[in-house]
Amino acid sequence: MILRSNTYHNALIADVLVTEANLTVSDNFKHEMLALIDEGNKFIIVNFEKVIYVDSSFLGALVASLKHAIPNNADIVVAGLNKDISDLFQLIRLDKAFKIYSTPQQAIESKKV
Amino acid sequence: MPGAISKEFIFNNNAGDIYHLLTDIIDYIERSGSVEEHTISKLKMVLVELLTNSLKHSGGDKSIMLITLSPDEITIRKTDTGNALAIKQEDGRLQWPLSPQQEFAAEIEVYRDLSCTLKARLNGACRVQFFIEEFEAYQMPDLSKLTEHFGFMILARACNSFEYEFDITNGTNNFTVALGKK
Repeated sequence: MILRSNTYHNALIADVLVTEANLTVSDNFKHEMLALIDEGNKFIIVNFEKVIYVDSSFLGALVASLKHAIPNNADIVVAGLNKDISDLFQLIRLDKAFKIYSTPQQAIESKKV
Repeated sequence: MPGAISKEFIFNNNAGDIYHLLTDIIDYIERSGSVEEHTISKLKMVLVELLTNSLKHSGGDKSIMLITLSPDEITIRKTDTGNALAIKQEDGRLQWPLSPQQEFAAEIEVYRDLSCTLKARLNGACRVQFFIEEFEAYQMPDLSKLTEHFGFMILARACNSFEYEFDITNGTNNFTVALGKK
């Protein structure tokens, strides 16, 4: 299991449980994300606060999840990125594709406004 | 290279070793002299991608990471014995060595994202240099068309130079990247 999810108001917080988000877990991560979308969750916050680094395979799985979410009218945002991961999102422009929040709580607050 | 020092690190192509090796290499670089924080951040991304590339494609039991530090630049050369790099083209994959018609000066598109194209400049029979060609006007992306392949994009964006060479004499893959220290 890569994700532990909890519903909070209208959001689903999906905590990434691994510290190394690499190709050994990216397929499972993708399957778990697709399942959360298929269950009808419309606002999923992927919480990276336990993660030390991500590789391209994991990012590919995250993007595949987003592409699955779009036709299902679901939104995926990310939270809890450390500085290295945040820099990586900027480097490859994923900060244009995902809304990035410091914490899951901040993401939830943004939906209330 | 005048004033340069080098050290080899061995990666046993085991995912569980990535973080320890990453930490060891970064520690070696930091102890060898002043490197800007944003360069360290890029180094981590680059090392993760090079090691991930070995996990995905290396057929051997180890990869060699040669770190060379010159006064202004950090060079990383990864050597493995996996399958030769496959660059897909419309009419199939590039085969090493390249044909004389392909060898020199040709630029090919490797893949395209919404903000840029990753290109390869063919440079000799067994060598390519990768580079990014940014689109002039970046617009809000059509998310459904985002690429899911970021490995080489990360290397090309993070580094000053990024090249691949297939050594036909011993069947090794050699990826070389360079970053400025500042």
